[in-house]
Amino acid sequence: MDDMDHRSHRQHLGQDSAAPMGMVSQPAQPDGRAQEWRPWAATAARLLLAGVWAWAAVAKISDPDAAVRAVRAYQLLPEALVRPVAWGLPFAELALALLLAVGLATRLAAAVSAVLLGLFMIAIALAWARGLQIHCGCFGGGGPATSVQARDYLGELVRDAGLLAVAVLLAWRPQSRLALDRRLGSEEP
Amino acid sequence: MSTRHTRNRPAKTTGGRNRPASAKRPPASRGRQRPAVSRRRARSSLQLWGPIVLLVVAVVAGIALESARSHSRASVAVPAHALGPNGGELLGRPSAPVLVEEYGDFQCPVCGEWEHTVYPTVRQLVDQGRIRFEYHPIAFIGPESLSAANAAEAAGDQGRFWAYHDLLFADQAPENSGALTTDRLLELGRQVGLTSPQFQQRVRDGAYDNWIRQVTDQSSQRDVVQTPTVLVNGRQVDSALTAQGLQAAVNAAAGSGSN
Repeated sequence: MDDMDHRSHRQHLGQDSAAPMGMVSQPAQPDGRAQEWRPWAATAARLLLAGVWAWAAVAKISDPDAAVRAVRAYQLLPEALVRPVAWGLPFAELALALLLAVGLATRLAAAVSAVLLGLFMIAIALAWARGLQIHCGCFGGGGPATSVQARDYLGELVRDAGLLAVAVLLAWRPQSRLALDRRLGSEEP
Repeated sequence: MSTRHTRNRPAKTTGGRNRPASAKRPPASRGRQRPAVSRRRARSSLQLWGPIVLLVVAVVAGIALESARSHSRASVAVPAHALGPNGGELLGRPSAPVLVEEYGDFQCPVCGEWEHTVYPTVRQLVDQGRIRFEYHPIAFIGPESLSAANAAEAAGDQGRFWAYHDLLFADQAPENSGALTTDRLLELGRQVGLTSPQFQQRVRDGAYDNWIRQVTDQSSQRDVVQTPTVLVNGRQVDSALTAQGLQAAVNAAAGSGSN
């Protein structure tokens, strides 16, 4: 009846995780301690983004046909590109999730994440601006046939903007704890 | 990037603070340090390119994988009774002036409701010879949508598509509740007089699964993003979710057709 139901009907990109946010900014510490919390905040940011990508990837890979229809519904890509994007994107998300989870090439992964999130926001905003009805009239509760719930475009944009901010901050300061980057000594100052 | 090793120092540094003298010197003058430096360089270029290669390989492998999966479904058995102008199930005289199409999912509750509130009007208009009705069974709510649609097509092989279609909508369970098992689909067949081994075999085998997948994909190429979607003479009509709305749309289409 609730969000999960809508998710199964709506044919959209599947970037639908209502992920918690705001883990990067903690109250500022006195100077000496600033370096203590930053790497841990970056770790939290890494894991947050990794979780979101993994969730998005698994949702799409588990129903590739729906992913194709969702990409097509945005009416942004020529038909020849619809399938490659719908099929390739979730695996890129999976690879990003993997890199972020283990903390390898964190800056690159965060930067690519930011670019993807930016592209998603453009796609959502364009769909909104053009008034596309990318949703389903089927509700688990069986409401009246004419009550078609509008898609929460604003909510999706706000969510993606939050994730984008996290990704940008992480790309800016990628040093984090529990990261392979640290172990391999490839961390940049 | 390759020679910087300062840790826990978020602020930008020149990289020379820890090793002020050697860092700026060309590698050749370092003597025995050179192997270590080139090793480090090799390692850091691996660390740069490795993840980029991983991303690219993941995307290419994903596309290859899904494309192979899609090709494995390339053989599509088209039900012989799908005779509508757009390849769906057709009800009514082919000469009727207005074509009304519905894209529906047998698990979709709003489709079930449409069946109660609007479909009687559809039958009436069909009986009056004013419209042809074409139903496109699509499956996007879940696996049970697919097996139900396949069973309806198998029923169609014996001339019982509409009876089976009506029964599926009259007796809907909550979506993806697991109610539409093979046994249940066979039982519904018995209720409309289908007991032949051929029907049962096609239900069990999912004989028309690939065709249903194809119809579902084609629906999105016609900009169908929800069910039920109703088209009148090829144009989506949102107001056709009510009987009056459908009637008005049919009148308008008939009027514009005769002018």
